[in-house]
Amino acid sequence: MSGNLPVRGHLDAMLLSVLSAGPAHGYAVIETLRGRSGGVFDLPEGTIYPALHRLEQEGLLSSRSISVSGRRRRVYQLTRRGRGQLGEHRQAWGVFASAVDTVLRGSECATAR
Amino acid sequence: VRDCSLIEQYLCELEAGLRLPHRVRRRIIGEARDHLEQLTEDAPVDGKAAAQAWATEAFGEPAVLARRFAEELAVGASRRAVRTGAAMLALFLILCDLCTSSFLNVPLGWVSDGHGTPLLWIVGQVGLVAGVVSLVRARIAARDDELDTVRLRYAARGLLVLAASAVITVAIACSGIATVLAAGSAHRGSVWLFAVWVLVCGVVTTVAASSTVTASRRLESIDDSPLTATGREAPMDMLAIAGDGCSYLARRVGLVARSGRITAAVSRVATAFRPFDPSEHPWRYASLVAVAAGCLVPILGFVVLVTKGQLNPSQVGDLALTAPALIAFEGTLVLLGYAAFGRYLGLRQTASCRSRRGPSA
Repeated sequence: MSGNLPVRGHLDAMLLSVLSAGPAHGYAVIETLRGRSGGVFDLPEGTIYPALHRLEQEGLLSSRSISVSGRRRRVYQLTRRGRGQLGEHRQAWGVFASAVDTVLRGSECATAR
Repeated sequence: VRDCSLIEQYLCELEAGLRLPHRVRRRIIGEARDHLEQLTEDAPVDGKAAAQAWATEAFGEPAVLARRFAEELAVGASRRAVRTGAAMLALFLILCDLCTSSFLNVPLGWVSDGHGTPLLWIVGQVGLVAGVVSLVRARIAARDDELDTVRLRYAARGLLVLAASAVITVAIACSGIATVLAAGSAHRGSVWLFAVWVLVCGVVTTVAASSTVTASRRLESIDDSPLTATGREAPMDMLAIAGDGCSYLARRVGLVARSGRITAAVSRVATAFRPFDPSEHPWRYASLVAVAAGCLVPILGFVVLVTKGQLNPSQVGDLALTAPALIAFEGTLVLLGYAAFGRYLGLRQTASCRSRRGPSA
């Protein structure tokens, strides 16, 4: 299995979360992702584009081409459906993380006894 | 002036690996170029060449990235394939209806003259060729250890063409059988002809489908395969995955290269055609095939007449009159088929990247 598979499993949610702050191009998205994770999620830069394209295909993102400093750039932004999906991801992650936390702490307590 | 920079070489490799519509490919390459240029500007190393090397490495392996695109966009690709198949089916059915009712002036159906119609044979040709190609590709794919999702898409597409052709052939055959049965015992021989034809289509379809499914199941061992997807998208993913192998299979079987060598040999003989590389001149190659296919039809007609002992001056005259029309008809169909399915089935590739890469290599 690929070493970054755990990241890929949650990449959709993270991309939607990064773009919930406002429209951004691919380079900015991966910079934000790396910055917010404190450098932990150091993916190959190109790998976010297939995911961005698929999310757009699914209607969770929209994109448009704009000119920035004389350079054409494609900027992605969240759609209404994408915003709803992000809410669902956050809720599901909250439940999952809480459950894992409870299990791990439980085993810690059992070990201590 | 051609840019031979590392970034352009990287983009060429990426583009060569992308088996996606031209519009999508162009957009992906544009985004990748923009990202790579930005990375080069921000690279923590000195020198343009070193910065570009750093940027391309940070962006990821082109082959891996192309494969990731194929995986991520597989569902959309298979939906497009289904839509195209449905459109082709509708077009063929309309064409069939038009031909029976007006052009060919056959009032009761397809086989009232006892020989079928040209369209029946053309549909049969498409079905047979697509079937055989899919069958060969799928059988090889089932045994290959190096399959990945990028390499299998074309098998699914071939199967789609095959399925559409089989459906049309079955519909035509049913129509013909019904017509013959209604007309009485005079055309019983044609019923057998249609029955055998339907049986052949059915067998080819079934074997090709089972081989492709077997091939796609082997992909379970590949990391991150969409086969592991659950829910309603899994079958569509599977269809797309099953098809990806044929771009690889087309190269492996060497269909294009072999047919190219034959064409080159033919073209050396014919003074009208100078030797050329079919991969560099795909349309010229297709035109040659079209003319050859068009010539073959009246020749076969002549052979049939001779075999049946029905060759008389009036029939030879009829054949001479219809031959140009048949050549044009078959030639047009071959060209249309090549235009519609050439790239779709992996028989021709985009030449833009190859031509860019050639001199820089």
